[in-house]
Amino acid sequence: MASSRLERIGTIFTRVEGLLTRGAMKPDDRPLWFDVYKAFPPITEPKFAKPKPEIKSIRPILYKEDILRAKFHSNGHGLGVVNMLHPTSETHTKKLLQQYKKLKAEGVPEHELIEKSAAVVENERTVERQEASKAKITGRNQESSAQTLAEADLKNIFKEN
Amino acid sequence: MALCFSVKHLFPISKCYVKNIILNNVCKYTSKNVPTTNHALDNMTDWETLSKKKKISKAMKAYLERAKEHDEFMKKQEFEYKIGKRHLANMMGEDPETFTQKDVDRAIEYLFPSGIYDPAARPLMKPPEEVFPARKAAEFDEAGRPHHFLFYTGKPNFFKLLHDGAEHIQQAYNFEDKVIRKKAVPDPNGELNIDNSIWLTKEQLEQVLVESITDLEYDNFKLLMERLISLPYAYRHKEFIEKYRKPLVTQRFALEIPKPSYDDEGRAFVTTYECLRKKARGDVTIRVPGTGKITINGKDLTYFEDVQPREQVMFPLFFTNMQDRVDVECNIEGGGPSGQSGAIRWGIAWGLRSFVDKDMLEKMQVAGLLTRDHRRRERKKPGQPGARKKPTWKRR
Amino acid sequence: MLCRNIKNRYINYAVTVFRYNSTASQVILETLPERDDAVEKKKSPLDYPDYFKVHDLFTVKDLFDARVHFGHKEGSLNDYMRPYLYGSRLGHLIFDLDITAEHLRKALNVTAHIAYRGGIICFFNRNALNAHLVENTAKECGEYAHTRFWRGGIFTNANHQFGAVTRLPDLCIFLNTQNNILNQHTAVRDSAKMLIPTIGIVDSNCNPNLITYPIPGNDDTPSAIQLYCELFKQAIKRGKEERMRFLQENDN
Repeated sequence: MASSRLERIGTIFTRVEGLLTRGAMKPDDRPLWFDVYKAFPPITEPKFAKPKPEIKSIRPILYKEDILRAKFHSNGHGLGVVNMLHPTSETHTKKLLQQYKKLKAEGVPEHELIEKSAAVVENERTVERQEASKAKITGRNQESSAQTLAEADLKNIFKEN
Repeated sequence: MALCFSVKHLFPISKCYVKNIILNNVCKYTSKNVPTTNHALDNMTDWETLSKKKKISKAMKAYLERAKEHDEFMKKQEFEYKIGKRHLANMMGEDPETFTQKDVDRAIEYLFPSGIYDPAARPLMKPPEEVFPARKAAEFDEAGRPHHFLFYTGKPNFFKLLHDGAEHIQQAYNFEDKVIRKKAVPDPNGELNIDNSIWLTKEQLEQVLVESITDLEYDNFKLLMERLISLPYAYRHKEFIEKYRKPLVTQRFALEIPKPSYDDEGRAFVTTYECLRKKARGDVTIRVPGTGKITINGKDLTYFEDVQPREQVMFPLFFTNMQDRVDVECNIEGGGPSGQSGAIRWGIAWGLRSFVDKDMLEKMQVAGLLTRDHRRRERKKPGQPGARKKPTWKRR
Repeated sequence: MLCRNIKNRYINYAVTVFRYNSTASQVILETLPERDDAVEKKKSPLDYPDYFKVHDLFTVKDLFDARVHFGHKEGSLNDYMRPYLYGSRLGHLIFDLDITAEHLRKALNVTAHIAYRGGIICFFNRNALNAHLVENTAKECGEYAHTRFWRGGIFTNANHQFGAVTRLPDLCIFLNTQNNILNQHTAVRDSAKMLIPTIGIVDSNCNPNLITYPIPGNDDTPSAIQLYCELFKQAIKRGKEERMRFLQENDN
């Protein structure tokens, strides 16, 4: 039941220090980390019974664009597929926001901005998709089965690693 | 700073003055109140100088002491064993100089008969090296640093095995990705043949690892290995997998089945010598083709008076459905009808192996026809009327 | 894990706020005293603020890219973690990476010093997802790892558990300090008991009190753990290289 609760008293440093100053531990037998701790004490003392920090309300992180994001999403835009293999690629929402900025600079009236930028981005996406599928089909036609086999360099594969 | 704050926080001064004093006393031992100009702390030799002096760690010192102790203990045990052996030899009336371990075992069995089923629980006298398990060598160097990177888990070898398994799984995954990316087809020759082997049992694994493991840990081991062999490119890690598999030896047919010889009449025959059961001993000859004639010591099946031994003799013939197609001749001596019939039964089954197909062989094995029965009469124990029988219990 | 997935989706939103190239803790770099072996031969490594130059191991941008700033949801916040927070993005807590960097640099420095003195460093992690990575790290830098079930008494009853007098680690590095989402790893308590300093990655739901050098940050995502492992490995390597040099000088 009553196991040692030593860790609740002071810190590891103060405990070793106490042993050293009172002569319970010889200075030469001090733990290896003692000097390191002394030279680089932690930023806050690692005490078990620390007073709780002052409870301030956590600041919410919000941006101006959030309003626009909300608008796009409430109209059902911005839920595109994200390519997770390229973490730096832009998300659908980001493209929409960029388009919005661009159109606004061009002087498109406020109430049309959302729909128009959504339409432009959607258009871009369909064009991209078509090109991609075309490339796939032509690629398939060109490649004969013999070529596929040639590409599959069996020997090399099993050599590596 | 931190503690003072807590004092204020927890005990307002007006409320409990006494507690505050106590806490102040405690405060004196914390880092904040220790005088900074403490001689004991300031005049410490620096680590660089200390490290030149200290060469051997506490752990190593303790280990060396333990090793010395162990050596002395073993020496003493060895001495006692030798004396015990001489005493035994004298008791058995033999020459102590030529008394071997085999003789010791025999003498112990004679002098301390035991009916305990488990041989490990019976009395024994073995050289101390066999009785006391070998001590592990030091697992750390002079500075006390363990050799194994998983030492602090307590079961380094086992967890290293799991670590290696995970490593192999990761490699298999990476390789699979690579193959798919290069659009290659898997190597058709690469195949992992695991049908004729099984995973090491828990006891065997423990022996390999020199560590005791729990059932849960053994299950984890099996889970990991099953996962590894389920991968399509597991064959590339064959070496690792096979280290932890044990071949299923087909011992039943490991002994070569003899080819039948031919006699003057052109009939095939096989003779099985040394058909043993209890105290009975004999040989059995089977001739094919035949008419189902059975000759036992010159008589027919009526050599046995009871139905039970007759059935015993006929059983392998009926089982293989060869009762009308073979002739059987046996010479048998020693033992009673039960032992003799059992010996003949085994001899017939053993001889029939040459004349049946593989499926039937399998069936005979399953039916227990090809298994020798090694049971012998259990010896009578002193103080009781039989091997197991105890005297009738009376209240007084 | 679900929580973490949602977090990942917000990477792109939060980009603009963070001060990538914050120089808050890099200022120290400039004030580093020049290491002049000829003049200050007697000076020990402890007298330098950053003898092993661990400050240039990473930048705040690296931390951000490794997703160190993601905490858990607000509901699971431990009050002791409040000072380390930057804010909350739609219910998900975000760490202030400047504070994290300062703590991490201090921890790396201590790690290098302990390695220099030939101390035993033990890595801990109870998250099965990252266990293998952590074990590999320990293996590569010649130190120790414990990523499995913690049998009680490995530290507190070591001589009995290992059947011999055993030297305990001189530094424990926790890549996560929780056993599961609710309980703290027993080794945190045990090392505090046995006078072993600890370094720990504390997420927003962990209690940093018993950790000697806490580092506020994400302790679940593999990319973050990978970064920590790499950093600690480098720090240990630098400490050990220096140690080798010291030992050679001593022999001659």
